[in-house]
Amino acid sequence: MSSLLELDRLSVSYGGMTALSQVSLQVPEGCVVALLGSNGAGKTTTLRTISGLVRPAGGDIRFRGRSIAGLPPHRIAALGVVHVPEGRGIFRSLTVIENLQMASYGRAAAGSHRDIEAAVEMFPVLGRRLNQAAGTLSGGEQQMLALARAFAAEPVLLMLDEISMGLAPAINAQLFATIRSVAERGISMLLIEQYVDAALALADYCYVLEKGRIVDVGEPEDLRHSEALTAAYLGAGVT
Amino acid sequence: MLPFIILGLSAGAAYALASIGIVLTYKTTGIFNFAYAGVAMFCAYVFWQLRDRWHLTQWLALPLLLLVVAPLLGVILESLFRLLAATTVEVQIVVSLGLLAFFTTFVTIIWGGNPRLLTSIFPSGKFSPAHDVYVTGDQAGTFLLALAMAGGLYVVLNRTRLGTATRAVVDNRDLAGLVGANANAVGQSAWIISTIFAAMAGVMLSTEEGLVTYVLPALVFFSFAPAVLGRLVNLPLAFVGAIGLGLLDSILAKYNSSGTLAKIETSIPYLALFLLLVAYGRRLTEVRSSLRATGGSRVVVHTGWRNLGWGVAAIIIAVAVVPHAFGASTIQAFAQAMAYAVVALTLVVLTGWTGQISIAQMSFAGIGAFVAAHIAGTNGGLFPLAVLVGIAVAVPVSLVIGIPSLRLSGLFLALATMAFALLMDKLVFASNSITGGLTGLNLTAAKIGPLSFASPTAQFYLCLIALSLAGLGAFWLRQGPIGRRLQMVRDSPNATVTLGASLTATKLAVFAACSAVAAIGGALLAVTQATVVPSNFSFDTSLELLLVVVVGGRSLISGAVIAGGFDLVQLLPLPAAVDKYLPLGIAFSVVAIAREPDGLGRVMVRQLSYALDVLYRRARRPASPPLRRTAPRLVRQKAANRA
Amino acid sequence: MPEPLLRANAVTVTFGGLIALSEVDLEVAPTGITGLIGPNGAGKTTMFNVITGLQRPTGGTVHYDGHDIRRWAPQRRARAGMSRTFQRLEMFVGMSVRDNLRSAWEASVPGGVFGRQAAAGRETVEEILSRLQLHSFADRRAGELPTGICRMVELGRALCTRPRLLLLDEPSSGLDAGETARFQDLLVETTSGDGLGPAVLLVEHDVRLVMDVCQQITVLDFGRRIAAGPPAEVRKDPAVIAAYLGESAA
Ligand SMILES: Nc1ncnc2c1ncn2[C@@H]1O[C@H](COP(=O)(O)OP(=O)(O)OP(=O)(O)O)[C@@H](O)[C@H]1O
Ligand SMILES: [Mg+2]
Repeated sequence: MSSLLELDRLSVSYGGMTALSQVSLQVPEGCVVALLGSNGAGKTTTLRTISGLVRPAGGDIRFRGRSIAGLPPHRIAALGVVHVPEGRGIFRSLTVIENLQMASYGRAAAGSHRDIEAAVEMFPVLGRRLNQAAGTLSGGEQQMLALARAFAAEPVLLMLDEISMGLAPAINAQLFATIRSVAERGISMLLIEQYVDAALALADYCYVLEKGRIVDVGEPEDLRHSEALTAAYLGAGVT
Repeated sequence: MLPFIILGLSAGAAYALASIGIVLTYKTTGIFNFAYAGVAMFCAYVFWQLRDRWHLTQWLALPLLLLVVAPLLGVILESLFRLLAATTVEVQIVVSLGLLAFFTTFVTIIWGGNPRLLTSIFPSGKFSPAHDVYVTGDQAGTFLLALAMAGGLYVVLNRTRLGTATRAVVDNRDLAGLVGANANAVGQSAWIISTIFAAMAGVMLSTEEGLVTYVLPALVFFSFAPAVLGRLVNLPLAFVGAIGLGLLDSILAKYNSSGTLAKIETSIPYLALFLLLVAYGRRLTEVRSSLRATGGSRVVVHTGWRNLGWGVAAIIIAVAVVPHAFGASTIQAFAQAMAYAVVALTLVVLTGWTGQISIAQMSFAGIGAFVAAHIAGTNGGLFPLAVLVGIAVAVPVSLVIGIPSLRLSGLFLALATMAFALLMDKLVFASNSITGGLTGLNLTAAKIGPLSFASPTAQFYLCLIALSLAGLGAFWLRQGPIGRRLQMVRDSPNATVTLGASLTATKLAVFAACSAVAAIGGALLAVTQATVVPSNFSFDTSLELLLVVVVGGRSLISGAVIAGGFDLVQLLPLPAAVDKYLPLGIAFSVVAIAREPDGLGRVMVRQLSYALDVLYRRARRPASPPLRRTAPRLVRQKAANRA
Repeated sequence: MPEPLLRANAVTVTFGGLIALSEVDLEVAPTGITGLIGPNGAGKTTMFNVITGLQRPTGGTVHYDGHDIRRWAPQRRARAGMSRTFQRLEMFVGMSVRDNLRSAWEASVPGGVFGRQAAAGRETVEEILSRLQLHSFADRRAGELPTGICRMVELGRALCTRPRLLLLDEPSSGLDAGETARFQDLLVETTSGDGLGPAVLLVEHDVRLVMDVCQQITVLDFGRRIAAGPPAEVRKDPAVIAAYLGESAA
């Protein structure tokens, strides 16, 4: 079985409160997997645990068959796991170009000029702001910068946490197209997305999280009418 | 003129080494390092030991220092400051200050206090670029080395990936990990580079000034102004500023100034520091932008009445025990400690609650003390009037300082108040006519109406009542809308103003009120000390006060009381070299071990509450454990196995 | 047409060489919801900052309730009935949710900081807590709450000042679908009906939400106003489609 990433009964707790319990999921090579669920379900915690920012209390995380649970974030990043954290993962006091140069600090292979150029091409706005301090960018521009950085890092596994937050609709549409083309290049993805429709359209598989547990899993078509999914979003807003 | 320019250039180069070091450390580690002078001094002594005591050749001693000793020290420093990555500025300032004190003490213990000479590492001899003008090898060497080092650093920081990475780690440690930078390793590199630089600077500066424990710190304080000229991040500007300062110094010296002019001359760096800070204003930003996001302020949730209960209990115990159990000098010490606690309380309100770091509270106390001594020195009956006049002087002074500088935040406000305190030392407290010089002024028999405070017991009650009232006032402030207003200002200035509250008015009111109370505290200190000397109100004492308040608990009223209590260590029979640093060190360790950013006060309150809980409902339900602890590994493992 | 509550004329803001706003006109009616939309970096947040006084414009005028407010400090504008939320959250993280709201109320009332009219304040705060269904979080420390709740707290805080003009900067970003739907109901409920509710200026990228609730919409692009009018018109405007909505949303 060729799962790129595999979570095996992963549990996480913050100061006595259980945030994740027994979460098992798999991201097969070249697949786009979406995590769905309401706010507070534990999606962000899942990503943070995978990338090493949070230490698991139990269970295992395997990347290409090798356990990475408990490794420090930079070691995990060096394997090609690129995480765009929720809420603008940028270095606010660095300039835009410096942010992009940091994309690949741990990996010699990535982050060439060409990569950076390609990333900037994707978001032309950034090209005009290369020497501006990232903290003074508009909210959406900051989000674009975080994404551009991730794309420039030549990821093996891309983990995106609510990337469409604060982006204008036209950019969003373009972004989803980009993600699709990135996926077609064989890059695996694990993403969290509030626009359920968009997520369902993008993903090969979806997992539905509720209160730190996986309550449903399947292909988008099956899930579109899933009760678990509807319930997870409190029956609102899902079409 | 030319000789003075040459002198100025080489003095400027010495400043430059210091100010570039400050900028380097701040930019790459996020720490404004007061201990920089300590590190530099320590390294200079090590060099002296290697070369002049053990007679190693210079070309062995220097590499040994720069490539072995300094990097080792850098690694140690990194592991210390790593623990502080997420804490607020005042804690970092205090720790780096504590470190400065540690190095000073350490050096004194090992090498003794006597000044020593350190001969230059450059060949002696001089050359003459023009008629009657000589440049020594040392002068030329210092200047060229400073220039080369500054240039090298500039390249490392601005042209290499490591330079970008150090800033990225300072900015947002978690994210740095996510992009693949090993934050610890990058931090170590930064500290190693900055320590090597400090070592080099220490050696250069000590050959200029001699190995004396108090000279280097002063020199480094001088170099804050050029560092701020570069907004703490711009190396070339800091370099230019330092050279300019050196030139200014020596040109003023040319006009052979004396008297008032000389006094002004030595305070130029501090004046420049203050003016630069004010001129830059909001354009000064701190390098740790992620600080707010990680919840810089932890303080809240006033548990209210129970804490008041502790206060009342403490007062009752104090009244019941102290005047009866101890001798006169001890009682007096208690009185003095409580007077300090009154001043410390103002720091809690300012720093802990409003987020304004002040390193000038003892200067305001000094205003109160000297006004009291002047007015009530010969006629004790005028003491109440003296207190009022003290307030009437302190408040306008606080406004003059506050109006331009309260726009500054965090570190920069701390530096501005520091400049103010140093200026007070140089220009006001040093003046014989104001403070009576080294011997000070007398205030022997203060009276309020018929009550005389000549006896220690009377002083004890006076200070106890004052402290209780101040504490109660602060408590009342904290509970109500004003407490919320202070927290607003601390947490989000933008939200504060757009909700309709005035930032400036709030900050200024708090600053003025705190300086008024500090002046009262100063008057009380004058009463308990009988002789008022300037050194008791110098900048150093303000620093010390900040230190003990942070250790005691910067956001707690009890923290201020504990801070005052540290004054009681004078009663302990301790060797002079360690005197108060030993107890402080122990207290600091306790706070660090309990991982309690709110200091000893919180630890104590928590332990006491725990004890009470246990007493109350021992049998009924288990009380929460007193110290925050993660579950022991075994328990965690079991839980995991069960799952 | 009634006199607008807020009128910005030819507002220009530059940062160094960058023109963030260029001669932008904007009107907000005294009732109902006005939308302010545009691509990322179009200048919406900058416009909010100009209106609330956090950013001094390089040129242009802003009139509020008939007054030229160019020289007014932010707190004076707030006292005159302006209130806002922030795109990048600005919570009082060290306080409980209830105290967040209370301090907002106190800031908006003369003498509030000295405890004047405290009873009335408590009542307002409790009423808003229950209107926003925040009661279960009332005693939690604001710094430890998830984004969705924080957005609600910021809204509650703004409402506590009983504003006449409420400026919301991407209030639904970070909310999940359920929360967004609830927010929409709330917004409509707050502004509609008796005409006592505040006028709202709404910046938002959730097009469905904007088109549903707004009566008037102004569209910015690269710091310029490219369209203004009722939603039905704006969404068909080719310039708006090209610059902002994209083909798919048309
Ligand atoms: N302090 C500043 N210095 C330089 N440029 C700035 C500064 N603040 C904002 N800008 C620029 O001004 C433009 C407008 O920013 P603004 O935040 O108003 O955009 P916005 O419309 O709110 O976008 P978004 O939808 O992404 O939040 C942006 O391009 C931004 O980069
Ligand atoms: Mg914006």
